[in-house]
Amino acid sequence: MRTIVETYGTISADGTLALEETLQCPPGRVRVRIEPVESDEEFAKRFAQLAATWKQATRHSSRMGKDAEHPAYQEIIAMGERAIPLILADLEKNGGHWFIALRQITGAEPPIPAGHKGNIEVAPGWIGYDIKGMQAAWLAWGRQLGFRW
Amino acid sequence: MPFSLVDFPNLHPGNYRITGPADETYNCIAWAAGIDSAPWEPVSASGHYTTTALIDAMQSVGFVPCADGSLEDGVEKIAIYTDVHEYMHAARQLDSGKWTSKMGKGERIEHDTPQDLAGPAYGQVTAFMKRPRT
Repeated sequence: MRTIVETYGTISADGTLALEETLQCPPGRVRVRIEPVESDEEFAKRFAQLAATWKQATRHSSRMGKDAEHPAYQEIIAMGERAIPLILADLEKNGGHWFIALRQITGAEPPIPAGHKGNIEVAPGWIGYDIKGMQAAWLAWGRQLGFRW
Repeated sequence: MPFSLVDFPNLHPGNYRITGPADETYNCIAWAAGIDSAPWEPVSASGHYTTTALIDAMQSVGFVPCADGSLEDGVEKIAIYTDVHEYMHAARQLDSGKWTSKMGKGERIEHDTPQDLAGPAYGQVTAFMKRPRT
């Protein structure tokens, strides 16, 4: 059976590669492909720039669904699970409509915690979101799953 | 994030004033309908923010299309701003004849005329609606 393993390591100045874990693979000759990895600092910086761009571009908008189509927001979604602590930190500190990104990255739909008003019918047949309740839901979800921010 | 005059070429310190703080928990459409408890984002059956979808939604809370934004006794009017076929904003007329707008996730403002917010951010005023003032 053909096994493909992805792992991380560090290349030293002398060109040697030290892996961060011992591989659980059958012994034998393998192909190694080197791909640069963004450092945590670089990743956080890219996130902050994208978030600022998105907030600036959508600050006058009243359409969450449209805001989520912005290229900067889409790039944040593409950053995947690694971006979750950064999103949760921004959500906790600054608020913001991060629900669509979190839902697309995780597939989760955490319930609004007790004590919040919950989504309401703003007009016949139309639901309005409880923004604070949804923010609390995602922060509780993050803590429950052990994310740190 | 506070709203910026840069995006509203017709707005200047003489024709608007801030009347409420930045608040992301409701939006311009909700505020135009008199709601400040949640955002309201009417969409068409295909999920698009069409002006037609907004007009239909506003009819569900008692508005009907009307000709203009002139002040009428006992009548509440809204102005709908459109860019191509999608709505971008809605403003509501106060009984003073001035208009109130929630600026996205930002502040609430009072402005003199609907035209004050026309421009690159919100497009042009393309429809007015009215309902009895309560």
